[in-house]
Amino acid sequence: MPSKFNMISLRKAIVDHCVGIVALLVLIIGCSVVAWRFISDHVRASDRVEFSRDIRPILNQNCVACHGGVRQKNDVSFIYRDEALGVGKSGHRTIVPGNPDASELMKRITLTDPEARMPYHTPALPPQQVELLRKWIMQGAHWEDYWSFVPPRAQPLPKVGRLDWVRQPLDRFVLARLEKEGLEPSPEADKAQSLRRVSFDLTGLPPTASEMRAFLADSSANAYEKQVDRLLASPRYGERWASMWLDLARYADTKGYEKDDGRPGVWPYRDWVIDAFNRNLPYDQFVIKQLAGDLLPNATFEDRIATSFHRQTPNNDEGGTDDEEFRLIAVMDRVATTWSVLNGVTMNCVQCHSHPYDPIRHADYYKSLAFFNTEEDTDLNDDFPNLTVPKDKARYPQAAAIQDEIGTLIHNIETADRQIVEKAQWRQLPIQSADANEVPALEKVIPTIIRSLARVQQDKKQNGMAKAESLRDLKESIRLAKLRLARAKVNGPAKTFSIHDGEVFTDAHAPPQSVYELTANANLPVLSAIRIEVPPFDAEKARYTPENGFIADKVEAWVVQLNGAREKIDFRYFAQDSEPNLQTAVFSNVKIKAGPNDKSSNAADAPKVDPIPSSFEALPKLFRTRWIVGVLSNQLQLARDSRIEVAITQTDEIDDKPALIQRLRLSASGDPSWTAEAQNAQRAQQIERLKDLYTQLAAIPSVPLPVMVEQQPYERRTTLEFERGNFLTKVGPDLAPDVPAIFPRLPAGAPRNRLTLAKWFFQPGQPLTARVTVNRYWQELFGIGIVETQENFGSVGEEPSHPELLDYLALHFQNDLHWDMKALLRELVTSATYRQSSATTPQLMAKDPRNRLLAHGPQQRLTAEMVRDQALVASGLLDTTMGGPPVMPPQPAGVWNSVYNDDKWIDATGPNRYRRAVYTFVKRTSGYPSFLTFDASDRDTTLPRRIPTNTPLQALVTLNDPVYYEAARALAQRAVKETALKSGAAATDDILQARIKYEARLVLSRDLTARELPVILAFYKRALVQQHAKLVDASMNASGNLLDKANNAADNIDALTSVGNVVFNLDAALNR
Amino acid sequence: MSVSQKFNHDAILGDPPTPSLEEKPAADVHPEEAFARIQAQTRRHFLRSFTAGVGSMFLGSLASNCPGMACASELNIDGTQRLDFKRDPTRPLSVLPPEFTPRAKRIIYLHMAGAPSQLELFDHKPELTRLDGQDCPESFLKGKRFAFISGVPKLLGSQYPFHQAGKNGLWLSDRLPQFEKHIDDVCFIKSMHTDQFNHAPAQLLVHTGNARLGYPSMGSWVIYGLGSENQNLPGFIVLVSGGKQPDGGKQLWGSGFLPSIYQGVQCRSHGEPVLYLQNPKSVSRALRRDELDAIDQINQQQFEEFGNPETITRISQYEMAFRMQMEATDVLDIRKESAPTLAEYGCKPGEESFANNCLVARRLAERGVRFIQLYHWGWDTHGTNKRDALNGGFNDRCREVDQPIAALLSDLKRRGMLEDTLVVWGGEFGRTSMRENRNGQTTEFVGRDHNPGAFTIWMAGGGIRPGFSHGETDAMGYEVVKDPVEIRDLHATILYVLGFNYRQLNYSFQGLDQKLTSVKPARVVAEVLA
Repeated sequence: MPSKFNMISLRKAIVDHCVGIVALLVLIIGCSVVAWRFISDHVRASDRVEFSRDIRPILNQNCVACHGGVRQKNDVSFIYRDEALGVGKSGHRTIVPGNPDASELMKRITLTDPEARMPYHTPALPPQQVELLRKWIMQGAHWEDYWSFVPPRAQPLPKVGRLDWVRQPLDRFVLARLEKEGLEPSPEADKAQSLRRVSFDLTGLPPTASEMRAFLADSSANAYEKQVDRLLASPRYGERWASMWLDLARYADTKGYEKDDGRPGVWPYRDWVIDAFNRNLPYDQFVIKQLAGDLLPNATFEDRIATSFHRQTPNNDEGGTDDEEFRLIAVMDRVATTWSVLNGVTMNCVQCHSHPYDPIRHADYYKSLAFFNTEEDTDLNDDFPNLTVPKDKARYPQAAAIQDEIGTLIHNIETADRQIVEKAQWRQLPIQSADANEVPALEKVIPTIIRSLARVQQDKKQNGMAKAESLRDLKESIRLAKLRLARAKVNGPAKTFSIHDGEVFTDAHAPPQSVYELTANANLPVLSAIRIEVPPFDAEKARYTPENGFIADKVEAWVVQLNGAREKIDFRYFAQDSEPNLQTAVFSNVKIKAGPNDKSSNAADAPKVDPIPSSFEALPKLFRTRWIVGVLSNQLQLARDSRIEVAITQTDEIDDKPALIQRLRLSASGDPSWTAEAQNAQRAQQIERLKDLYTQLAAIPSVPLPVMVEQQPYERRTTLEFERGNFLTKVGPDLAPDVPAIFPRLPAGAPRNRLTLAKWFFQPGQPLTARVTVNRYWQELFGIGIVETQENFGSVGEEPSHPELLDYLALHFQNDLHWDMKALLRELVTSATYRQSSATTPQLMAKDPRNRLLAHGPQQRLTAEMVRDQALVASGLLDTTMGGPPVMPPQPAGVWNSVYNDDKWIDATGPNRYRRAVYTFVKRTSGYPSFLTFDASDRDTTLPRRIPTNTPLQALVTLNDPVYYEAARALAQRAVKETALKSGAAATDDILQARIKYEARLVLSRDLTARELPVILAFYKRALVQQHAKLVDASMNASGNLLDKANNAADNIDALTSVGNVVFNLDAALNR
Repeated sequence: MSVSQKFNHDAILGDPPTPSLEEKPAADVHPEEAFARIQAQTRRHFLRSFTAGVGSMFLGSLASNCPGMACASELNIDGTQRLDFKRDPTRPLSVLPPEFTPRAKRIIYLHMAGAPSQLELFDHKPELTRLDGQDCPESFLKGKRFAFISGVPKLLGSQYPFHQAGKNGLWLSDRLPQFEKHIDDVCFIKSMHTDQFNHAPAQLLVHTGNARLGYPSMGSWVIYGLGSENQNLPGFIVLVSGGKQPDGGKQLWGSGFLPSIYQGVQCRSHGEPVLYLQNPKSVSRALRRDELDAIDQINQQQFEEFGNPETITRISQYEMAFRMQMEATDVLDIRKESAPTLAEYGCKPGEESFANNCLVARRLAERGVRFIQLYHWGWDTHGTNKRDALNGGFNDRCREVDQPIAALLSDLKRRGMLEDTLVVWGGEFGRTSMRENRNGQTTEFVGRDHNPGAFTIWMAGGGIRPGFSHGETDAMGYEVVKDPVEIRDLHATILYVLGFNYRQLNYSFQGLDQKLTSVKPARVVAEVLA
């Protein structure tokens, strides 16, 4: 029982230190910190007090909870030096450099009155800590940045005794430390262990029998290095390291939260990651493309695919949710993920207040957030914006060319219209009357719902509860709409709106489906365009906290003469105020036959093509004044006293609530440039070209991949500080994107965007990127990073076990290897440190139970992916097909029963049953059960490291999951086939042994030992007896000696399967 | 009467008591004993040369891989004493003593997914009934975000009559006649409120203390803090009924950033009760025993060669898996109960029903399962159709839970287990005092929208004040006006009942001492304690 153990060492501490009972308690508290940070030898005798080593731990431990980033009680804080040297509420200076007696800090920690003494209401600081603080203030109270925020320093290679042991420069750092501790490194691992370890580490798979044979037979001096090169060149390498990166990227095939619908087009990103590892894209390029590939000059199609990294955030499609809330949650997730993955900095804390321990201020967080707050995505159910990615990679160039051209055309057309809007003369048309009319809206809506009903009824893919529910809901909607229509026809306009200064305010609510009918005096002689503007109620605030959005399906207008003659205005086109709206309008004008990407299409649901699309929307929110301009085909002379009538049809909803315009105004223009544009043949051609391009694109079998798209300058959201993290209350000035003040500055003059940020992480002098990255690789290979807390390099994270080694590797990776990931891995796995045997001794266990000193080689449990893949490789079942849509290997029935969707897990048949784990479908609310049991990520948020556990549920998986049983059977059959071929003899004990050995070798990557073999042989025989007994029981036909039979039966597949099952469950099989 | 005078919060959770090492109760097995057990089990003297390393082994395994354990100073960041969560590595679920004497040893938490209406069950509002059908006041709408209500909805009085019951005359409606018999055993909190108004985030908040994904559930925290009494069963078991998972998905019983061993294990009425529990068809129990013997023997040899303590842990985990196969199968089989018991709960063995799950919950509680979480589905009564209407499906939901809950309370009481079992019932938020008018329209069926402003939960059993009602809402039952209770207060209270100061039960992750109650200060609702 552990507390007993602690007690023993504590009693010893009492004797050693001979301090009083009160101090003892503090010691108990202090001891474990010191014990775990054993790396920094606390040289208490040293004269020079070092802030980072001696003082910061005291402050972090005892002071900053009340006097730090979150709370600054009595105006005292110990996060920054200027704050610590300031004057607190007491009126006294907290710290006076050089003068401890004048420092309030010293006074307060030495008081006897427990009500006034600091730390408040806890035992007094032990005398040696008080003394340290006194000495430190006396010496000038110098301050140091925490080690991780100081750039890595070049490290001389340490002098070591056993130079012959060293294989890589990094070994000298490890060896120097071992020698200092009086420890010897362990002998090199035997060849079998070496190849198993490095094969798993580099490719995630065990060596095959022939790979092992070749290695064992190769007696050349660089036999091992040749294997390393082979493994690094294998396509399996990318699949293994993608598993690591996809945890960081929180990659999943579904959107998360309640509905957790699929993201059918997300897998091209996963394949990009695998491919990038295999191509050995340097780490800086690898990251820059994922953070900001869309902003790279001449961004390629693949660069845009890479940006899906930050579109892996969950999306909340639950009915009645606020899209702005969940958009911001996604944005905050991007901030947290970026800083966590690249710099091991916990930005999440700073969301609500200044960082509790690290010198990062509250506003710094929102400056970081500003980099990510200007993207087009807004938590819409269709994951807009998406890139259309062909299923067949060979068609990437075609799809890329089409989408590039679409992008350019859309941009050019929108820009041209915008320029005319800005240059043209406008005159407000003061609105005189405004009504909401339900009848025409409902007449439009009812057939639409009926079409939807037909579509759902005919959908053969859905058959469950969700389908039944949506059918019922649709029928109810139709019934209600018809009821309302009948009522509205009798009652007339549902609502008359109030008008102020010629603008409509819908202060009371209109029916959810309405046509707004507006009339205005035509107060200008010539008409060439009509503009509808929808301003926010509070334009200043809406820039950062938006108002409800709207969706208008259709705009129509008439000129009405004094005599009542009414003529419909002939619009040539409608100018749109954003590229997404223009896209929507043009796309709605394209007639696409039920193409390969549109499975749900059928005749009943075919959208009616609007020849002059006039829809416009602020979806889902209104950040700025939105507008649409109806451009007349020809200029129209307006008679005096004529009126203009405008009808705006609105039938849609946003977040399950009506999506109605709540304020609007009209203006008109007689500017001839509108007419010129209306008659511009080039414009018409461009639109035709766009329609053609959309049609071409739809003909390529593709999937929609959510990607990052930056807002245009005119529509960019503004970022302010959220008061205590609340997105509904924002305070302070507009914040420009920036990195926290503690870090090196962004390059002057560079645009403040994601690309600049992404590149900044790799600039010389950035203190953390290289350290965090090499540490991640170290963690993957050695089980524990040089800094154990991969997720936290801040001042409450762990300090490095080998600080010099960390700096050496960081600088080496950055400056010499130029972020070459394979080169880094090659150095790590060919080091003497890595190649040591993993065996330990009781003495070593006593001194360094967790092998932080690296006196022996690493032994790690296989990851969830490796456990599966090993079984498939060993049994020969593995299908090595790479990439493509996710697969569904068998899982127990009934694991998936999501709310609101009828998605089903359908066990794969054929080769997809045996694909590598990395291709398994990832559902956020219901992960693949056996992976979760082996500590895989559920992919909700970025996961910097998996914490391996060792549980009975894991035993149940590898013992009973049919996947492993199937593999055991295949392994048995393989053993029989392979050994029979070679021997050709009848069943003998020799053949039995050969088969058992064969099975074990494929799984364990080594031969069974002389002690192990008899255990398995004996088990085989018992299994045979039991299985025979069962047969005998069944047939009631017992004869002969069962044991004799057992001894002679070497080809019993059932018994050999049981052997396989045993082998898969050995500790040696579950480790590498 | 205000009970808070009697119970001073600071007195309950003031400064932590000075820890006394001598008084700290020892965990159940002494280290030497643990090793003797393994030795006996494995029939090998593999530790002969290893006794010097025994102590250090306790730092291995799970503990060594947990940031919260390995790097734990024994002070929390707020200066309170940190609990010691180190365990025997071969038994990562071994029992740890809580800080102070617990009032309850286990929890049965009944979550009604979808959020049942407090106004049709427990929160009696005659004034609302009087104003039924009138336009809702402007003040109810201003600055509020609704899931579905738009325009100006009408006030909606309770759809069912209320009456007083029990010795203390507590109010409730006529929908739960069986449950009513236990009204003197339960304690209502009518002043629950939340800041989440959508199901998935609100359920996440109720179960993990955070509305976002990625945080450990209440059950995980409890097992992390206390371990499991029965080493042959998971300490945290989840049972789902109603045909669907709750909106928040499996994350509601996930372990978040805690090691995965602390996640809830979902047991099922169909198929294997626990995933992968049953041997493959061709493997008999005897053969499985032989397999494990072979595995254990070879693993011992492996340990002797490499000395990795995880190998020893693995041996013991395999043994536990073997025992779990028996015990879990057995405990989940309600056919072993008598006919009268089955009738009392309204069970039909083999079906997936809340009644069956309630009976299983009692069986699990008996065997020392610490945290039993039941979900029932279908309480989201918007009134858009019959199934989700207050005058439709709501009645079925009430019927589905009424008898089983009453039977569970009676059964626990009969067995003397209610004293140390905390039973909690509730949803994720409340429902509006207004009738839902989706799309501004009056629908055929009657329903209410989501209301984060007020809802009712009840608790019974271990350490809870029986026959009492805490907190009040306004005359419309719309917002809390007296003694508001946050979700984190509920969490703090539940942890307190189990023997924890909520500030102490923490885990270092991402630079924070993470707690179930999150970073904001919580309060133990002392008024509801017996």
